Amino acid sequence: MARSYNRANIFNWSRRALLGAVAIGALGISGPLLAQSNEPIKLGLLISHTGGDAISGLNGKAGVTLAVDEINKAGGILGRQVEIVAADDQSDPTAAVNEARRLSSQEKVDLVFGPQSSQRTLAVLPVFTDAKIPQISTSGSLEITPQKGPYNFSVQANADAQGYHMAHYVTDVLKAKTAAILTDNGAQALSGVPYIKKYLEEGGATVTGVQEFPFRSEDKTAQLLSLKSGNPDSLVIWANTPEDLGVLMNNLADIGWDDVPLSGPNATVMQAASAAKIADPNQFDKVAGVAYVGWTYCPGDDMTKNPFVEFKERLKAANPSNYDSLLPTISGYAYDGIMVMKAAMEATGGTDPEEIKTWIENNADKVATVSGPMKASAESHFLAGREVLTPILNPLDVNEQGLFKRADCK
Amino acid sequence: MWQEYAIILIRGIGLGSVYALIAMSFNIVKVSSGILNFAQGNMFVLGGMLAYAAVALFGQPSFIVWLLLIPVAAIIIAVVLLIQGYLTLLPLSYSDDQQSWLITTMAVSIIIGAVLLLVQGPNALMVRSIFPNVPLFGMRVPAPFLLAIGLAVFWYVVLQWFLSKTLTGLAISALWQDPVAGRAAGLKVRRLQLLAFGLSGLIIGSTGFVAAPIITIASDSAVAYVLNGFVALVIGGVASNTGALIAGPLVGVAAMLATFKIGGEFQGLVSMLILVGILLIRPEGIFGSTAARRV
Repeated sequence: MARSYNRANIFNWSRRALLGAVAIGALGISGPLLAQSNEPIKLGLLISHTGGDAISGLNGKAGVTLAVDEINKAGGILGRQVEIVAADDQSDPTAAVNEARRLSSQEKVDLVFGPQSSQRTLAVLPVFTDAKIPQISTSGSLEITPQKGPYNFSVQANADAQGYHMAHYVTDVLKAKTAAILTDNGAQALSGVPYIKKYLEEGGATVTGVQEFPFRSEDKTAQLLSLKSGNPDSLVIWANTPEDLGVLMNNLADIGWDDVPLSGPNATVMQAASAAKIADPNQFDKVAGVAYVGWTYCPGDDMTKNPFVEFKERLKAANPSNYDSLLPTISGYAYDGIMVMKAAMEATGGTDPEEIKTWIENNADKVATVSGPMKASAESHFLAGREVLTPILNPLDVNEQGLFKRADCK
Repeated sequence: MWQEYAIILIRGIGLGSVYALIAMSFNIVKVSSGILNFAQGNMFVLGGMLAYAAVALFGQPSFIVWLLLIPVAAIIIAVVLLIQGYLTLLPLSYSDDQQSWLITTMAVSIIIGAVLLLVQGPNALMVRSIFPNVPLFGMRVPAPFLLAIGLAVFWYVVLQWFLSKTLTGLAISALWQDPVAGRAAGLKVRRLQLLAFGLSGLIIGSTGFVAAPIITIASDSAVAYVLNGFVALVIGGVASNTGALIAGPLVGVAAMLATFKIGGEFQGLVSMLILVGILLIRPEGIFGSTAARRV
């Protein structure tokens, strides 16, 4: 009896132990899942808080922060709140790599926004590729390929797409037969030079000279005098900072060459207002730039539900004290980048890098963006292609809502 | 064609004069204490910020007001440098034979840069010149380029007079030759060194103020100016103001000529090539002097 009791007892205990083990095992398995579902999604914000490119960082941060605030207020992504993990690349590729390593190995972020320049993005690509972390950068160098950075997507128009519009403005709108090229020595501008040359020559224009200048150099007279000696009909410029654009405009006037029509990139549109603080605003009526279509208008357009105008209002409400020092254009495409990533995570049901990559390659154009329609493919991870860009003339000529008038308005 | 070279020459000398002034402000501190003040670039930028503040306060000030504001800016930066000098020299009270100044001057430079970033943000400040552009050779030159040349000559004359004609200046010069002998002779070494810091502040403060419309006034721009000033200092010869006055414009003109004839990508390379070439031929710099040392 006692024996049978013992057997039954043992059986019961064995069964209990087994059930307990199963329960513990189940908890063990489901533990991470449960924790994961409640844990915030960690977004590494790898931008320049300091250094020469801190202006991009300031604007990128404003756009990302607004996107994250809106996402969190709406319940997060897949029910998970988004938490920003800040990292300062100090405008320096070496510092960017150190911070990228910290974000991937210590902070274990789920995705990354940044860096915001090609030099730094190229430097950190191996880190995020090895760690398989989806990344949204704002870099336009054509050296950034899906092969080098399979999980990196850029919301910045690449040098090819910008160069296409810059050159076509010269050959199609200005009908110029000759052009000179002046760029800063950044990776994006330098990588654009061969494309600008190619499109100019395809359009029937001859390149009379090419020059470059260091970022924030005090005087560009020597470069301009050198280019002027080739007697071109037009000048293609690529200056990424407002100081460089302002000094360039002043130097053109100094040497009596301010009547030459200029064709600039995206940065010209974004930086013109700041550049006009030191240069003569009247000079800008001969300056063309490349804008995202979302920032532009033609007379007669319905402006009641313009996504970019609405975005600017929300950005202003979120940054009442420093809105005047922000460039909503940069903040806008940073915001778009986060929204593309959000859509990819929601559609794929998580943070799997391969699934996110494939989804963005095939579906980015389905995401509502404020800068213009974004699109990617397996061949190009630049979300802002030629289609999202359009030339504008006189970046200081904006309507009451701050939109730029397209050069092709009828 | 010659007009283009003439303009490049003038603008190169103008920009080079800024480097020369930075080198002179290095020199006076170096002569008195053997210290190379790495915070000098940020002091220069601070001088530019004062010009920005002056425009914000007074609108575009009249010539007289602007002229009066130069010494005000110079004195403000001199006071800042006096404080920095005191802090830098303090550890040296225990022993002259140490390199703590390397850390303290760099630390001050970093602190000023960080404060500028916090106060001003990442944007560069832009200052419009109150003077009209000067027409030359069918083109025009912004007045600050010419004013920088004038300021370099002014401070060169003042320094030469001060260091060779006044007792205090002679005492500072004596420290460069032998600080121990100077102290033995009863010179108040620390006071003279502090005075030199203040004097360098007057030079760099006035330079930043005058050159503000043609320089980049940003939290991170100081390094480039320190480097160019340092190149002018070494090429001209450490402790030689004559060398600084010549080497600064030499670097400025060479960089612009290289850009014009070869390409902008060679702008920085040329000044470095000059530096290496001079160091190979005359390690003490063009106007530097070597001194025998008893061991």
